[in-house]
Amino acid sequence: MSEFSPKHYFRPETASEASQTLARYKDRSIVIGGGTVIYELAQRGLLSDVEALVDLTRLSLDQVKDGEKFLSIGANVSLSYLQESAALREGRLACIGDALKEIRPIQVKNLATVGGAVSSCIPFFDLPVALASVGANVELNGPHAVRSVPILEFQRDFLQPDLREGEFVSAVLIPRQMASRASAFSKFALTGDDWATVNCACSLEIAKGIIREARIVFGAIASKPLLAERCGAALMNRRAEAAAIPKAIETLDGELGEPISDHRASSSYRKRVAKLLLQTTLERAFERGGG
Amino acid sequence: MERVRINVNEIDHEVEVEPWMTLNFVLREKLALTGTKKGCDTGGCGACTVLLDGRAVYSCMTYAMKAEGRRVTTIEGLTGDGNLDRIQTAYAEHYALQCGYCTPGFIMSTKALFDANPDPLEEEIKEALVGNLCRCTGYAKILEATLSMKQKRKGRT
Ligand SMILES: Cc1cc2nc3c(=O)[nH]c(=O)nc-3n(C[C@H](O)[C@H](O)[C@H](O)COP(=O)(O)OP(=O)(O)OC[C@H]3O[C@@H](n4cnc5c(N)ncnc54)[C@H](O)[C@@H]3O)c2cc1C
Ligand code: FES
Ligand code: FES
Repeated sequence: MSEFSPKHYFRPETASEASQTLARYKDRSIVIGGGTVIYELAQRGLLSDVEALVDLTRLSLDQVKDGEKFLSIGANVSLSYLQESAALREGRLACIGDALKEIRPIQVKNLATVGGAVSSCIPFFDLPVALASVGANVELNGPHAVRSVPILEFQRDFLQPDLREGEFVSAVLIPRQMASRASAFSKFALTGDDWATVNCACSLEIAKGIIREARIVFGAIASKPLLAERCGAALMNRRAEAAAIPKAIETLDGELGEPISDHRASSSYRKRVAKLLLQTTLERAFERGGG
Repeated sequence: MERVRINVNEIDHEVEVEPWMTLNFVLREKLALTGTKKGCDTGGCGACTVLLDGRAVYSCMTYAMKAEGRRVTTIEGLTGDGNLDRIQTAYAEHYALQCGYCTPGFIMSTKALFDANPDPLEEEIKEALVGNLCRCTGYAKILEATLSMKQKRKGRT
């Protein structure tokens, strides 16, 4: 039988009740955010063993909070709520605003949650790439403890989040100092509302016009977002201006390896697009950073 | 099976729902509100668009449990007084439909947009309608009808 036919739908009132429920049903339970990926996986017959859906709506995880160390985005925050949030105004965390603009259509963005976007572990998504470029961590609530894991570790592989028994994502945490970075995100897609053929995000620490640190991340290249470390290193201590870009692009031949090849694009096409996107993304970030 | 309370078009309903049932299924099969269509059933065509607490969502991929205690507005909710509402009137005046299958979805997306932003830019209109496909009209008339609502407002103010 490949039908999706969960028997139970739980709406726990507390985090520990949620963890206990997930622990009780083990692999036969999943958290439901907006349900948009769940629906698609269910249609493909991939969730036939799920017996229980756990809905976190009652846990008040629907706020964006500006804390002392982190900007905390609750797992149940919808993508459209995040896009409208004050935390992203006045150019703060611009790469995240860019990514949300590129996620279409609105009917999906109104349902989809931040928790679902990061836990799906689908490498063509936009938000995880932008989050990785600003060093976001995923906060996990378990039966015994709360832990926090860098998003690039949390997303282990295609459809494989690092979720232990009874754990769920409660928030995504962005270190406060990242809010002042110059950042940008760009996406190349075949249509206005398609998943990315390639996407790219960068965040740059710029002091007096000089790049002090650069985090460059690509999506739709590998089975999870790829942090291009050599590319970032090639930008270090360079002036934040166009002349710094060619050296960064050169690193991509080696660093991107053999990108995914599928019905959207071949591996070599993706590599060419990635180079162009890096150019656009850096130029945009330089403009914003006053470089 | 669970009894779930959903407010549809200002009326409270109690419906028996299984966790796998979608809002589209509940509206069409349990409440006989067939104005909301089902097209692709995989998120993309927009024929199933309804408002959930005032925001446009695809009812084909919204699990009905997610609507518990919330407000749903469907195309039937626009004609409460028996008259076409102003979006429907604009569509009729501008011949913004042919077969009409996509129309309820387009109208609900348009309603969500205008309720939140009474004077949207053309770009904002296009963005709000990206998730609705029409295989008949070629979109020109739909855009015309939508822009006309904006111009009417301007005329008054
Ligand atoms: C028509 C369409 C167009 C789209 N276009 C784009 C696009 O342009 N760009 C883009 O980036 N994405 C796009 N998407 C994908 C979209 O971003 C995802 O569908 C959405 O982010 C998933 O969020 P959700 O809350 O609905 O997840 P759900 O379906 O609820 O969950 C997804 C997975 O995450 C798990 N999960 C959810 N929440 C938690 C939690 N708190 N803790 C642990 N596990 C959890 C679930 O168990 C499930 O395995 C599109 C989707 C559709 C249907
Ligand atoms: S039927 Fe829901 S988007 Fe097509
Ligand atoms: S009028 Fe036929 S699909 Fe739009």
